[in-house]
Amino acid sequence: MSLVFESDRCTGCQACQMACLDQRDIRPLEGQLPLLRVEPAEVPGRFRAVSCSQCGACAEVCPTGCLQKNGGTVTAEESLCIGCRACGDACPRGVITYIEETVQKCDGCAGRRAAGLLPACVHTCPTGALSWEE
Amino acid sequence: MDLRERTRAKLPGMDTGISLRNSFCDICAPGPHCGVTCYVKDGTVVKVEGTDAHPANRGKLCARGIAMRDYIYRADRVKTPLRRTGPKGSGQFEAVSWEDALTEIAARLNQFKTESGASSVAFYSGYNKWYRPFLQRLAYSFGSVNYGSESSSCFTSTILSWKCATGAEMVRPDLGRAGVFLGWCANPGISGYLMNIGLQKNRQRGMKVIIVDPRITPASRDCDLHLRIRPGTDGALALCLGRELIENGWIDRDYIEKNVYGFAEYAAYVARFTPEETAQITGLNPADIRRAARLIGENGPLAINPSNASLVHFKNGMQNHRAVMALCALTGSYDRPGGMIPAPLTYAHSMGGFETREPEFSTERYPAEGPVPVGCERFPLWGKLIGEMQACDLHRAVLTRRPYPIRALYAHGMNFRMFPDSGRMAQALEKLEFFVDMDLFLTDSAKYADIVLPACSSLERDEFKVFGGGYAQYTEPVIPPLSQSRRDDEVILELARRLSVEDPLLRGSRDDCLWYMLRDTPIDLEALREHPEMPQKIEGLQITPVGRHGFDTPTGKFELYSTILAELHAPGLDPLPTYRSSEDEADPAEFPLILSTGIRIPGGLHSRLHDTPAARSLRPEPMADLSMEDAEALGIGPGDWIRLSTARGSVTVKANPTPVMPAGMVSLYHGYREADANSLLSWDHRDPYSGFPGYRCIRCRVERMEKEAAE
Ligand code: SF4
Ligand code: SF4
Ligand code: SF4
Repeated sequence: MSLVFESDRCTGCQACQMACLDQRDIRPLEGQLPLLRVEPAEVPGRFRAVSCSQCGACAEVCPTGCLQKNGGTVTAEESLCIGCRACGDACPRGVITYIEETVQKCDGCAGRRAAGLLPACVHTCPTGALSWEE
Repeated sequence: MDLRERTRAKLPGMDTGISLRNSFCDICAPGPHCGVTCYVKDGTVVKVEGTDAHPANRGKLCARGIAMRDYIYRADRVKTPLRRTGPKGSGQFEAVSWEDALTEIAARLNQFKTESGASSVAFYSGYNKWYRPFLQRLAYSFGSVNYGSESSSCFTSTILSWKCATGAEMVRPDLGRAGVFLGWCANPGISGYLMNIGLQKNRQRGMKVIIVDPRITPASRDCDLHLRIRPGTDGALALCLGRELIENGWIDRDYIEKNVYGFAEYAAYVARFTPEETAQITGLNPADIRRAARLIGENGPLAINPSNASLVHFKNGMQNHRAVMALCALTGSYDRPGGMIPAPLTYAHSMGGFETREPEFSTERYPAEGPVPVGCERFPLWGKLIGEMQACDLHRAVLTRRPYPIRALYAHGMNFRMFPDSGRMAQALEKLEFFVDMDLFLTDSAKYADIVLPACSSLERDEFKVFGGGYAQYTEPVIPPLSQSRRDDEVILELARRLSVEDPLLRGSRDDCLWYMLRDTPIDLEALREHPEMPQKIEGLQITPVGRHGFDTPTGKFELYSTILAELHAPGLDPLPTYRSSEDEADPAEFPLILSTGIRIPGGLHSRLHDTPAARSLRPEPMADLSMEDAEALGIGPGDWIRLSTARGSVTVKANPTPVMPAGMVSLYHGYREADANSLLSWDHRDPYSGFPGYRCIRCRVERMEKEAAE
């Protein structure tokens, strides 16, 4: 389970990146990292999206069990987070951040999906370049 | 799911206290305004997304629209009316009541009127369009001929082009039925993303796409032919395409005979634009130009990107636009399914597919006596066809008192950085005897005002609005106006009363005015108000069928040779869509590169998102994009500080070498406080037809700087 990105369709509009900031109240200008970012790819005029692959590397190093592999996604039980930032150092993609010393990572907008809604980023993508694969 | 998780996911419900309320985003131009669903908790917006069932955007939003929450809660929102206490520009103000502010404004404006005539007061609208009919009528009812707007540098040039050609105001491409789409300056993924959805869909059905853009973009990667043209030489290419269509017989002779005026003169003029000659001017390859002509010739009908800003921001911009649109006349693609369809501006610059009496409402009180509006003598075509103040000439009237003095300015959304040689406009704001500015934010321009009035956003107001395809909506506020902010139109109507203008309609209510403008349509405002959440399809509208629009020109034809321009006898203005260079006079040896300002970025919309943190995070610092080749030759790496200089001035910015830029061209986004692109542009580098500044073709030089020197 994770976000699927089709580079051929993406226009680099970054609406998905903005939707994630809005959904998760993340403020990059205050030092927080976006959980999803769209960057120019090697091929001129093409883009790549960098987001969580749900690989589990963060959960493996988490000392408190705050991060857990849960079905297909890695989810955070925020009350257990001690702000040690071990997960951020372990994440190969740099898509973990902290708000008030508490971990924030992509869980595929689990709450929205459980309510029958699309993840915020997928919902807004105007080209269909992003989708969520169960 | 427990309540904590539902709250964290911002799910609407009784338990979470989050409700959904609909409005629309008005951050960009009114054409594509998208429906926005706000997640509201305790009177605060906690999330926005596109409205799923909205006829315009179907749940989608661009990055700017999603930044709406950050935009309306910006820290620099004006909270109360303000009166200046410190020097102009210093930002020192005291809070005053609405009562005191409006009383003072009315007294001062009437005083200027008594002393120097009503036209010594100019009325101006910045980027927003929704209240403009009210502001324009206020200016005229007050007695001033000087109403003008930001549209003095955007969009209106295309109105001039079409009015000369066919008499239409606005013309849209019929993508759904086009055989070939000429995407001149089109990168709709980044600007106007709704068109991009149409483009993708129609390409799948077999529509051919030609992209004319110096840069490599997602649009240019998904097309049949990409012409990487040298900036500003569009007219030459268009004339050459016209020549090739004629030479190869790819023209609609019947259509031309019946509907086109000046074909012989046009054909004689374009004969000199051979593919080889044109390749020299445009930097293109003659074979590619021939391929483009063939694609157009063999795949009609032809639809063209309207290009309201990018094609006309050149010294020869209006003429280049005419030359491009002339291809519709040759191929008979005007007012024909799959071609270019005339589309009236229905209300406040939005196209609903039908007409209203808004133009009459806005202009019927034009003063019987008074001077010629500012800029109309200097730009006679503008004067004849638009007749509003050409605001790009406003600074001259203020600073030099020519053609006559402007003493006071009543503005909504003034932004001096919009104007070429922006420092001059700032000087003009300083020199004014009285300046009122209504805005959401305490902008650098508002800091020059004597009185600042707090405006509310589209989420905080109720508003009548039309959408394409015959839809109309009367929204309700999603949240109450923040602090003491008010609706612009409410303030204009209140001011009309306090100025005691002799205009009973304008001293009435907004709905009185709306009923007046909508009186020939079946729109029922009361019925709309019952469904504020969604645009309603209006039944029984009179919509001119395709093919029946005719030509509202002196000859009653599509004029390739403009009789309007011929009769103006204005020096330097040609009746044919002639080609001239759009470069400035600076020495190419000293300034070897071409600077283009204003190429859209995902998180930018002029200057209005630069201080919006989420949007700004997409490109935190002003950056100049330049080609890998030029960067290498100049020893510049990513993130290096560079000095970007023109004959007029220089700015220091970070470099962004990128393979999407062609050699010889530099791009800098505009509106930054710390690196103002328009400070690089001389005030007289402009199009003599429209008065539009030549924002997109300025000779420049780039030098690498040591970090210490830059900081
Ligand atoms: S946040 Fe990083 S480390 Fe954790 S699952 Fe996602 S990609 Fe892997
Ligand atoms: S699924 Fe949700 S949390 Fe993950 S990147 Fe998309 S918007 Fe962000
Ligand atoms: S919203 Fe879609 S098209 Fe836009 S950047 Fe994200 S993935 Fe690409």
